[in-house]
Order: sequence, then C-alpha cells, then structure tokens
Amino acid sequence: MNASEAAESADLIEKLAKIPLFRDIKGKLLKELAQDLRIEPFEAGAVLLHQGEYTSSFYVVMKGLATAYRAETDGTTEIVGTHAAGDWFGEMPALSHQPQFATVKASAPSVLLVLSDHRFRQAYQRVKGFAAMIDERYRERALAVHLRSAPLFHRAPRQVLDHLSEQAELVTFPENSTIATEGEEAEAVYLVRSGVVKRVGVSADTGQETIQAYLCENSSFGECSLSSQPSWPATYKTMTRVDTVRLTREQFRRVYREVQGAESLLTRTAEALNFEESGVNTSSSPPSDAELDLMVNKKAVVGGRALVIDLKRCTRCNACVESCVAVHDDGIARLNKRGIRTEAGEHMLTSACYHCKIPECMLSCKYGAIRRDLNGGIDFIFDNCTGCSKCEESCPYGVISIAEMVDPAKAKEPAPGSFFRELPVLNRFFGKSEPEDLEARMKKAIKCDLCAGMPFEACVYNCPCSAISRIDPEQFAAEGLFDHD
Amino acid sequence: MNTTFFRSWYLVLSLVLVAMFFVLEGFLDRADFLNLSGWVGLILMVIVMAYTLRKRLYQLKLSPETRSRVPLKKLERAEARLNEVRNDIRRGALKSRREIEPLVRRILREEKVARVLRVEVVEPEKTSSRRRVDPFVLHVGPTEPLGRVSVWLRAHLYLGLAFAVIVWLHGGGSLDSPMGLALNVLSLIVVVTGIAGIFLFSLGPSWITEKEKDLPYEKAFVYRQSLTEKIEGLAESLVPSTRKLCLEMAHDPRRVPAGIQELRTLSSSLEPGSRKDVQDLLVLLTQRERVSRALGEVWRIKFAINFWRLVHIPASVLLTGVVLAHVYSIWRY
Repeated sequence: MNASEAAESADLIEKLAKIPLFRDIKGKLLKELAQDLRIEPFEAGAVLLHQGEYTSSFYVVMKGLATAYRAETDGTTEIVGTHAAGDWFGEMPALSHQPQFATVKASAPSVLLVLSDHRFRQAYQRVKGFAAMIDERYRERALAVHLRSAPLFHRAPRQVLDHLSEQAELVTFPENSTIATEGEEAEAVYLVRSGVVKRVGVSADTGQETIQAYLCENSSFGECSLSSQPSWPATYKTMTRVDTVRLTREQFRRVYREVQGAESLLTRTAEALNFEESGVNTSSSPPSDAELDLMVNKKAVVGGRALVIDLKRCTRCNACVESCVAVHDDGIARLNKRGIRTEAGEHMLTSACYHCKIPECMLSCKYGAIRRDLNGGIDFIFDNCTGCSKCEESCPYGVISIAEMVDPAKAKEPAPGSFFRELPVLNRFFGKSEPEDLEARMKKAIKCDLCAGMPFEACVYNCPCSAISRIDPEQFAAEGLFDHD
Repeated sequence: MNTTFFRSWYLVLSLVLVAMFFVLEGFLDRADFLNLSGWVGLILMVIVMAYTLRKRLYQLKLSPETRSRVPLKKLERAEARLNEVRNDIRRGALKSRREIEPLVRRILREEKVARVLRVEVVEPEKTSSRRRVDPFVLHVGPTEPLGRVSVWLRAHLYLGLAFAVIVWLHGGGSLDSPMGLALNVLSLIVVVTGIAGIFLFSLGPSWITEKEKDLPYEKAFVYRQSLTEKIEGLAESLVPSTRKLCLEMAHDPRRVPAGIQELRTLSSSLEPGSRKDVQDLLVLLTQRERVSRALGEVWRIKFAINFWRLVHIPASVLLTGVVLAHVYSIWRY
C-alpha cells in the first residue's frame, strides 16, 4: 500500500469508527472493512435498490434520506420505512443471499457508505455488539413485515403480529446442526432470516435420507406445533449458519389471550398448511427424474438458466465446446457435456451453471468471491478467488472447475518471437511465442457466465443443428419444449 | 429425426429463385439470361461458401464479435433500469407496447449495451396466470449479429441447391464443353453428397443416442480412463511377468483379446488364494473392452454420418476453382 492509499484507508477507518453501528468493531476487522467499503453520493430520486433484485451490498446512510417501498402483486404500493443519517438497509439480502424485499429510493441528495455483503456477514458473525444493533433494528422495523410474509400469518391481524414481534426470540444455529427431529414434539414455529435449512425425510422403501425441501428467504416451518398433534413431520437440519425467529407455543397462547379470534384463525391456517406439507402433490405433471424433481419442484435453479441439449439433434460435433474454448482467453471450456440425462435419454442438462436458488458454492466461499448479479445469476469475482476449490467440491452439478492460468500482474514480458509466431492462424505451426512462466501461474474457479458482455452465447450461437438451448427447467419438465430459431 | 433442417425460409427463397429463373429463361434473350444467371449464381456461391468461414470463425480467432465485450457494470446498470420498466409495467404505469418499446430501446442505447443485448416485449398467453400480474414481459437476449450457425447452414443447403439448378440453367443443360461438364458434374456431386449429409445429420443423432443409452459418449471416455488407471494400479501388485502383460494390455488395445486368454489360463493354474488380483484384473479388462466396443460403435456411427464430407468438401473446393476460372475467362476473354 503506498502513502496516499494508506492515508485514504486511515481516513475511512476514522469515518467508520465514528458511526455508532461500527463502534464495537476494532483492529484488523475494522481495517478490512475500511478496505472494502466505498462512499457514494446519490441524487434525489435515484433508485438505490430494486425490489426483487439481488444485491451484494449493505448500505449505511451517512447523509440525506432514503425511503423503502414495496409494490404488491395487486398493484398497490406500501411505504415500509425511511432511513435517515446513521440508519442502514440491505442487511437481510446481505445475510440471506435472497432478493431485496423492497425498493429503496433516495428521497433527498444522499451520501451512502456501501459495504460488500461478505464483509457485512463477517462483522455480523464476529462482533456481538454489531449483530445486536442489527437485530434490534430488525425487531423494531422488519420483524412484523417478515412475519407477514410467512403463510401462517398472511391473514393475521396487525395486532397479532405486533404482540408476536415483542415476544419473538432471535435464535442462531451453527452449520450442520439439527433444529428439529422427525417424530419429536414440535414446540415452536421458526422463520428463517438467513442461511439455508434442509428438510430431510426418510424414504419408507429404501430407508435412505432424502432432501424434501430447501428452506431460506422468508421460509417458515413448525406450523405443526399449533395443531392438535404437534410432532415434527421431518427432520430440519442447517446447511449453513442459520438465523431464525422462534415463536414458541407458549408465546402463541399469550397472544390468544390478548387478541380475540386469533386462536381459531391461526390454528385453522396451521392445519391447512400441515395438510399441504404432508405430501398432497398438486403438480400436474411431475418430471421424470429425481434430479429434475430437485431442480423443478424444489426450485433449486433460477428459471431460464438451464442449458439443454436435444440428443436427437446433436451430432456430437463438439462445436459448442470448441466455440466456448475459442471465446475465452484462457482457452478453457466452461461447458461440459456430462450432465443429467432424462430417463428417455433424449435430453441432457449439461454441466453449465444453473444459477441455483440455493447456491452451495456461494455458501461455501469464505473469500467473498461469489456473488449474485441483479437478477440472481451467480457471478465469480476473479480478483477475490484464491483457487481453494471449496466451491468446486460443494457444487452438486459439477459445473465449477479450478483452472490454472497466467496472473497478468506477475507475468513477465514475453521475449520477442519470430515474425511467424505473431501471425493469427499460422502461429500454431511455429510453436509458442513465449516460454511457460511457472511463477505467474495461479488457480481460479471458473464456470459458465452465459458469455456475459458478449452479443451471443457461444455454444448456442455456434451449434449447426439447433441442438443446444437455454431453457426454463419448469417449462422443460412440463412440456419438453425446445427453443427453435 | 431432426426435422429442423427442412423447416426454413431459405427453402422458400430458393424455390422462388429457381422458379423465377425457369420463367425468365423463356422471357429474356440468351445473353441477358446468361449475364443474370451468372451473377446470381456467383453471389449464391459466395454466400454458400461463407458458411464455412462463419462456422470456423471462432476457432480461427477471427470473429470481430469477441472484441465487442461490454463491461459487466454497464450490463448491470442496464438490467437495473429494465427492472424499473418491469416494475412500471406491473404497476400499470406503462400500458402498451408503444410506450414500452421506445423506452427499452433508449435504455439500451444510453447504457451502450445495444450492440450486445436486445429486448423483446412479449405478451404472456391469454390463459397464463402471469398475464394478470405482468401484461407485458421483457425477454432479454443477445443480439447475435452474425446469425446462428444453424441458420447459416440452412442458407448453405437451400441456396446451394438453388445455385446448382441455376448453374444447370446457365449452361443450358449442356455437357458438351469441358467447362459445362465440369461445372454440372461437380455441382451434382456436391448436391448429392450434401443431400446425403442432411439426411444423415437428421437421422444420425437418434442412432447415436440409441447406442449410448447405457453409457453416454462423453462419460465413456472418462470411465475408460478410470478403468485404465485401476488396471495400472492393480498391475503393481502382480509378479513382473504378469505386470508386464497387464501394462501392455493397458496401453495397447490390440493385445487385449489374447492377453485376456493368457490371464484366464494363468488364473486357473494359480492357488485359490492367489487368484483374486488376477480375477479382479480380468473383470476390469473385460469392462474396459466393453466400454471400448461401445465407444467404437458410436465412432462408427459418427464416421457414417460424416463420411460424405470426404467427397463433398474436395468437390466443393474444385467447383469453386472451376467457377472462378470460368468467371475469370469470361472477364478476360
């Protein structure tokens, strides 16, 4: 770090230390935060975050005013909060990797401090004071709205939500722990604030554990605790560190005493939800494969992102893989034609990134090298990647590779080669123009990025037989449709 | 069967062109007809040959499109503004295509992403539940400025057929002159092999898919490699003579049938306790043979659906040469 960078960093650290939210953060963590944040001005009327978008930042208002509002499906718009100087927003998407709940607009010329979600999570998980302030504000401002999003409370009166908000406990479970075990007495309803929970059942035929569902983002479970026979229908295990809101049966009983009619409403809703969860399948055309079932019924992928090859059209010419290699400077193909095949063997979901709703790669990355773009697509941040390969191991579809490539910062100037080695096309006949620079090699995680920034998707663009296409997995499973050009 | 090859506007275009020339032959005088058919034929030939360049553009690193990569920040800004448009459509602030399309085009222009992104404004099906929420949906996709290779292939097919017919009409169906003979015969060879190719491309994928039902083509390579590594690993625990045989079989497929027989004979002569490694080896070798046979069957089908190129491509090159020689001679003399 040179002198001016050091001075800038010291200035940022000083600014951070003055903000009450960061007062408990000291030492190395404070320096790391300062290195990763930026201060941005916004004009009045500028949209800072869009409802439904994914964001990879946490925002603190240093000056000005921001307003959050939410558009409902019936067209109405509700203001959900305002953020003045010293206030913050974006903590829920930063914690949970889920879409933004409301649109936030600058109501006046504002200056915002923008911190990456990776650093925010570090601070939240390591500094109790910081987490306590975030949780306190969450309880004041967002908990009632969050409760409303759970199916159990969709029609509950505001009074019920206010009472429950006061009593709710914010409970954290570590990674790979069990929240509830099948068959045991259900004692509480849980709302997932951040992290991922998997609901696991045991197959009656094989006795093997199967994942029945993933729960994150506004998911809830434990409604069975309000029914007449409160026992857990499945086991709930954490896949990551999980922050929850817990509402015990005793807390519900207190609310029933305060609010007339609450007991019958909530109990009826809980019974209805239990009935749905007990396995009544309303889907009209179940897909043919277990893997497809996971992707479609369990909503494992972001729609429209699966790459499908119609094997009745594909001549195995490999033009898709060759063009993928050709458009990437590192010469490594992101497309791998070894993926899930349908039972009939007529279609293959290739090993190209599915931009999963539950991105196990992102959950496993400790370096903040994986983020979502605005529309939920999974992006790799090249500079942050250390090549540790945790993402490669975590990906259930095997679409991530660790590739060796030249670090441009360390690569030496190539020695001048012969004239013929510099020519396109002919250079392959005259050998490489520079020797291997082993010191400049580095490992990075790579995967399909849909040829972002290019006017095509190379594989689809260069297939001569119209055999490969991007498709919504739900559409594919329901109709077996294929893109036609 | 892949019928996409037979569904194309280029088929219609080539039929119209050919019909037009059949009609014009009766109306125009010979010199004018020769001139017109010659030029049109030449243009068609250039388009047909351009398919080859288009197909190899990326492997040769000649495509200009790879240089037009837009930074991700600009893409995200454009996406953010398009999301605002989506929200406005949902809220009812934008009600018609006439309001939405110019706005979308302006966003792409201002964010300088119009060369890589295009947006289609689509109305969901009347019966779709989505229509109640989103009266219009924005589908964002790449611009694909040079057109997909599959479209170029269809142009190549049908304009190539039209070219062959126009060559025939241009020469008046005459095979008397060397030039006429060369042009017409070569055209015929190219067309016949091309048609064979299209039918093979249409049917071949189903043959391959049927063959690889148990073991997909791409996985077979990995599986075979893994079996070879296991064979080499197991060979290390054997006596030197047997190890040598195993390593030979691991690396030379021609040694395998005789080698398996040798190992079977060896296995039966060993004590029961010593047989296990050799029997495991036999199992691995047999499995690898099976995989190799399966791969061989797929390769044979792949060769069958591509062998027509061995004639089609040299004939096309010759035909191009003959056409250029003909054009030069007309111009020169």
